[in-house]
Amino acid sequence: MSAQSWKSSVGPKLAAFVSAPSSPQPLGVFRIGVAALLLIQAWSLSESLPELLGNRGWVPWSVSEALASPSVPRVDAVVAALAPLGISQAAGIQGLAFVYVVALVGLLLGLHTRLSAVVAWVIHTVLLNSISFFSYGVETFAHISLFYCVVMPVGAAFSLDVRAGRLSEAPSPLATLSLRMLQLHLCLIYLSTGLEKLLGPVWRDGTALWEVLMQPQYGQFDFAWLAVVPWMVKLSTWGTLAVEVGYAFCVWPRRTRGLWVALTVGMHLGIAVMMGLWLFSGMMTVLTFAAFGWPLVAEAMVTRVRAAVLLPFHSSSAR
Amino acid sequence: MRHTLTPGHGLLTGLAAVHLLLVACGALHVPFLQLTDTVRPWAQGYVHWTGASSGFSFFAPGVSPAVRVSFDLEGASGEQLHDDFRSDNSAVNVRIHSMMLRFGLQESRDALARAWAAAMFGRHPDARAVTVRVESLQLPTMEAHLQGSRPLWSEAYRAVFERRLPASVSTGEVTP
Repeated sequence: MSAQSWKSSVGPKLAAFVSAPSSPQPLGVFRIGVAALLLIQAWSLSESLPELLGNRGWVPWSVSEALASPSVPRVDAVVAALAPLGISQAAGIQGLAFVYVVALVGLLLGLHTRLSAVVAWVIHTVLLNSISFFSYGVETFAHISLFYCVVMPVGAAFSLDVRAGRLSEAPSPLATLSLRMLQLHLCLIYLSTGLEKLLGPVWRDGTALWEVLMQPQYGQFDFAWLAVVPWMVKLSTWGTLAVEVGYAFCVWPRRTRGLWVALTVGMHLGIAVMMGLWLFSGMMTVLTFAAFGWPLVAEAMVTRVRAAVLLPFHSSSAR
Repeated sequence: MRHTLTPGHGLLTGLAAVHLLLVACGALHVPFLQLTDTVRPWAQGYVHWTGASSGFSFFAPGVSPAVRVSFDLEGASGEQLHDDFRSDNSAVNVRIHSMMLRFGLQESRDALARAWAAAMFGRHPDARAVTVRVESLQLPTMEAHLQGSRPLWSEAYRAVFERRLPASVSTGEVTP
């Protein structure tokens, strides 16, 4: 195939891939899922703010600074800025957390979505940079997701902004580009984590999940019995690798998409139940469901509704 | 139906591609190549604000051994107490575990132990000394477990701290 013919055949497909107008509904699902999970997280951590964020907490500011990014302010900067106003450290942290929660509620409802997303993203970035010692996977994905809520048209579906006429829920090229970005980002995530696991001997020999589940902080149950059935450990370990490495390749074709969404959600459900990482698993499930699962569900619902509407007519004409 | 990119949408697509390239660099641990000193801080600021520099090495390439932190306290009249950071809240426990895993960072160890000792003195106002003990879990293989081996906690760090007296006598001692 010549370069010219390749360009003429692939070019339009690529253009359609990123610009053929599509519904913003997956982005609305993404926004609602992320905001709901972050509200649950905020509620679950609300009583531990002094220990997690305070200078006299478990990790003083002078220590946590070692892992912080110099490009992003931290809570100590916010507290220092509020001090001249007579606001104490505890009140400053609580105030910041309160504004964050209000912004998340706005994001959840799709009320002044962009503004809510910007406020939630900025505060989350500051908080994340302040709790580097306490953070784990869920924070990483929350951070990425909130940035996407800022730049993507996530308020164009299932939102009060649409109901109030401030935003249109019509299919748009921007919704398509945003969805593609989210989808490609997820493929990069699963592929890189899968490939990095493949570098580890415990993943290759199939014993990684034994090492994970036998750790007291992860194992929600006594998994010592797994030693009697090592094939089950190997199957689960290699199954995890297959789902993660295969994600980037199998989630695109229509024939395997539903299966891979189900396998990925199932894997995260397993992580939640067996390791107790409910928020992390919830976040990953929201991302995959919004990016790849919702279009399938929406399509199935439309087909079912159409069938329900048309069936009586077909039935009567058949009679 | 034929779709052509408008200039505006083409620009946005290009920006999205650059963002995803940075994401790939972060995910694959590839440092920024050939960036000048002027551009690098801006690029670092961008990836930190957007999360594009995030790595996704969950339990990869290996599984870090479990770490547990506990405290032996000596009361005012010499009685012994034991405490730890465990919480009833599982969301908090996950974070405590993340903090313990970062005890592996050599440069932060003593400062972390000191902060934890201070937290214990706050929780037990009558205590006059606290021993911070960090242990890591040695896990047997499945075969060894079947033959009777059991997980074993081994001490990785120990430091003793004494409460500062109201007078100017300071007896904070770190003995790792």
